[in-house]
Amino acid sequence: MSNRVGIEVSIAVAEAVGLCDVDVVAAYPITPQTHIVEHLADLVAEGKLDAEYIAVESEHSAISAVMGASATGGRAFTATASQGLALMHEILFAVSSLRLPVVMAVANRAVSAPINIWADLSDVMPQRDTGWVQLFAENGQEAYDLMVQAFRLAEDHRVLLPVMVNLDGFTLSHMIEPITMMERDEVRRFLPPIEPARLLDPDHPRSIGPFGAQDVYTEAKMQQEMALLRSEGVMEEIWQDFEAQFGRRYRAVESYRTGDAEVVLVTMGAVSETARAAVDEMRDQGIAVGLVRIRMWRPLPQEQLRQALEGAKVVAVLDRMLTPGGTGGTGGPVGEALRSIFYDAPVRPRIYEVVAGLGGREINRRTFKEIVRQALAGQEQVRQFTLLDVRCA
Amino acid sequence: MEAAIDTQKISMKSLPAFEALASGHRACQGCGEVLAMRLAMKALGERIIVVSATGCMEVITTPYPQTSWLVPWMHVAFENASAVGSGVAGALLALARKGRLAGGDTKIVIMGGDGGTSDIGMQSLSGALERGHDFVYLCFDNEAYMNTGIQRSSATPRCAWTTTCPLGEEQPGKQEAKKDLVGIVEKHHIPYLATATPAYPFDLMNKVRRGAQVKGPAFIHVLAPCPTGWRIPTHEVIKVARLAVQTRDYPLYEVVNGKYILGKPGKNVKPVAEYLKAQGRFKHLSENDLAAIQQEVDERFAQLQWLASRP
Amino acid sequence: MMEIRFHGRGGQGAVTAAELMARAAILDGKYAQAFPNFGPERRGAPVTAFLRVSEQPIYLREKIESPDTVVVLDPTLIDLVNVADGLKPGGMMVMNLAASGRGALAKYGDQFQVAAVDASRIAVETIGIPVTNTAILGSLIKACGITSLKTMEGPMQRRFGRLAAKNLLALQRAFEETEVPEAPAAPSPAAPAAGQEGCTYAELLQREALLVWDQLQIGCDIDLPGSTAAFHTGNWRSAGRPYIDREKCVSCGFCHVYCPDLAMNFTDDGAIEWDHRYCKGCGICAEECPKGAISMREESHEQ
Repeated sequence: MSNRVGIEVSIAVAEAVGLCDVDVVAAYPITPQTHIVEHLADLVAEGKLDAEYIAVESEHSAISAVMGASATGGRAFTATASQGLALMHEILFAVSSLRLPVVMAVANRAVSAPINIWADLSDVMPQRDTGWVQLFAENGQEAYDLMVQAFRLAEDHRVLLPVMVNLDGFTLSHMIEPITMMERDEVRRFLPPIEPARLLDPDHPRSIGPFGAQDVYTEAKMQQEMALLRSEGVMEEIWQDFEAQFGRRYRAVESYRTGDAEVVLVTMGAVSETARAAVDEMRDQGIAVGLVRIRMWRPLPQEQLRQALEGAKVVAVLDRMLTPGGTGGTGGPVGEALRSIFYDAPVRPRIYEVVAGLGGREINRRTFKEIVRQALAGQEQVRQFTLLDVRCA
Repeated sequence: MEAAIDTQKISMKSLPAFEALASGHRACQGCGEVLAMRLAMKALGERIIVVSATGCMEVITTPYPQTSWLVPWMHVAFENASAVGSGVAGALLALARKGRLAGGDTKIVIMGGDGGTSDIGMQSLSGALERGHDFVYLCFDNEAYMNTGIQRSSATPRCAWTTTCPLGEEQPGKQEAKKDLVGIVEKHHIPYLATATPAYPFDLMNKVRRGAQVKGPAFIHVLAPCPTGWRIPTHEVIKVARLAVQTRDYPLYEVVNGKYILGKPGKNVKPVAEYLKAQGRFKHLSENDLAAIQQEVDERFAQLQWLASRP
Repeated sequence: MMEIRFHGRGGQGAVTAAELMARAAILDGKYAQAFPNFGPERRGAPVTAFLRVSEQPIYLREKIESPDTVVVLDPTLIDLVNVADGLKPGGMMVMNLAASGRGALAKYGDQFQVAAVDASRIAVETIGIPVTNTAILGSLIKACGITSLKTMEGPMQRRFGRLAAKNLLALQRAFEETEVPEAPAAPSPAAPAAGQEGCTYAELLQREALLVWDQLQIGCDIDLPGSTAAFHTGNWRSAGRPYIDREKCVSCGFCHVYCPDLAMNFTDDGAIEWDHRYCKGCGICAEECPKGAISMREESHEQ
């Protein structure tokens, strides 16, 4: 294929956004997101992308500006990471509550202090409950494809919610790797022009973001939640269309060699490819291990996850964020979610929970082998979770 | 394409019939802020998009399922109206260029109170002014956080009482000067800047209209008395706002492309004590306090005269 | 336990009244709660405040739906708000009402006990302004006990400082002048309380819900421009309305320009017309009329 190129993932992500004919990009630079927005600024400056690039003075204003753009009927994009995502936190709720279909890329990075610019999921996990659709890319091709899919999902009138595409900072965002690029015409066939469900228009005045008291707030939340739950099915439709057009198949939950697995690893994001390699090596050594990867984190595809993990004796979960003070015997949000999913199941796997890879601490094949070794050893977790690679005296 | 903003000078004879706000809003009796907003909107007309910061004006005009607004209106949060408005501006430009805007020319109106402008919204305002989007910003300054119950803001004047600068033995009222918001905005070198008050309704409307006609950012600072927070009788709202101007505590002026233009000097300038003594929030002031404030007022006005005297 | 609801207008001190009473009851060794109806109401709008008093600890943190007593601070509210809503049969109504206006109370006589006092007059005579929130407490104490005038002194002193003496005088005067019916009226079985006992929780929600969730506009938008016009703020007026002297009015339009509530408008003939539906009674028009053609006067109820 002539469209297969070696390209930095951040650049590819920006190219995908450009192919989507966005109208407004508003962004504030933060490592490791910078290459994405720099390239978008390039595309606009060179006239390759007919959009307004608003170089805002903070991430808070970036997310606010894309809200304004979206409410005016434009297709809007922003990108951030870490502290920037934390600064956006307040407004993330408003984007989803006002049902504005913006798309954001997050180059996942640890949150201060100590200040640390490397990958983990401490930035995105606290945004879990902001009402966004949250997708996680495993590799450059996924990050690229997900951008295009994200706009279609967000703008679907059954959904009308913001979508966040997560890619690991540096380990994915700054990687040069082969990506099969799409043509503009192809993308236009897949992604129809935006049709705003409603907009700020002097010819049809409406008030967006009113004061809602006790008598309506609950109903507003219900409306929003039903749309978020609905997005799981709509995403599946979109992925089927995408496969039909581009030949690449996506699912909310991906299983690998789980058929007869005694222990199943659960991962998210770019470490999943390393995990797959580790699974292959362990299989070669006769260990019955498989891998389940969560691509869609919100809405949580509970039924798919339950089915994917059914039959495993042990589920070994890798969380790349510590939930401080741990609730209910878990160390991180993914472990917590899995325990909840299996609470009512007639047969429950043992859930072995590991927190690792904080602040860019290396996660390699040895890491996964150690997780599986500990999980299979059968002993109860000494603590409520294992902080795998912490140095002790 | 037809221009969004009418260019005719507004007088009682040419008063626009248009109202962007319906009755039934929930503002306090005698609210000077909602009056200022009503007048500003009359001047702007119907080809506008309003982006509002959180505050009294947001709460009292949109009690779900009712809205007072007859023009498109959006509210997101307290500190980000200027950023939301920047996004609206970006989208209007892009969509117009791509032929996807159905209607005619549209003006963006961003508004906030003194808290939403000179405190929590200062950063997003500064960013929007610096980037030079095409919008008119209306700051309705009632000199405290009235929506939450009269707490001190950076716009609260020296000595004034609020619930967070109470009249203590050690610290009677606000100890610090009012932030020079207009001066800060001026330093962004925007094409149009003006001060106004609803006591001079036609001056206010014409300034709003002039500001909205320039391309790029315009900023209208409106002193809007709050009878509840200023502790004044509701019927005296206009009288007190007028005294602010007549005593030179709040001079009316414009800055057009950097040139200061001072409003016509009043015939007889009144002592600032007349303005202050009309308000319960200043009732504790001693003669010494009044003299000190008079001196500040005189110095500020002299500086303004000097600025206006420059070619 | 006794549950009391106060009716006033934003800015009239209904919340303060409930608070003062609660503090006094607590000083007496009782248990009490005072709380406002937290909402976006502004000065002038009808508001409510609540008070619970009990000999036993109170373990309730819900609204009071079926009060034993209602207290009405402002006589103009009687025609605007159903002040007896949910009041228990035979319950007490403590009303600020001039002797001349007491005919309005006849409708309550069958079902409730009514204690009336001209608190506005007492307040003007003692404090100098018609702020009735302390006077009305004297009536409440006369009608329901709860605490003593003596106990009220501490909380009043703390709240009003040097103005406490005048407010205590108002309290005392109202206590003396309040007429309390000697025997409770026979509770009428035909008036069921609108409290939780009267309907299921689901019914209550249904009654309160303005719209069900899947009928809301996307994102809770409002696409009915200008729809607050359906909300008549005219009932916020409590201190008179503007009267236009047609002899003096030259239709200059300043009252129209200066009205925050669009209640002074030009008719098609170019005359100025007052809109009773929206006028909140601020008085700016009267103050600013260049011809002195507008005056604020007490409303006649012929309107």
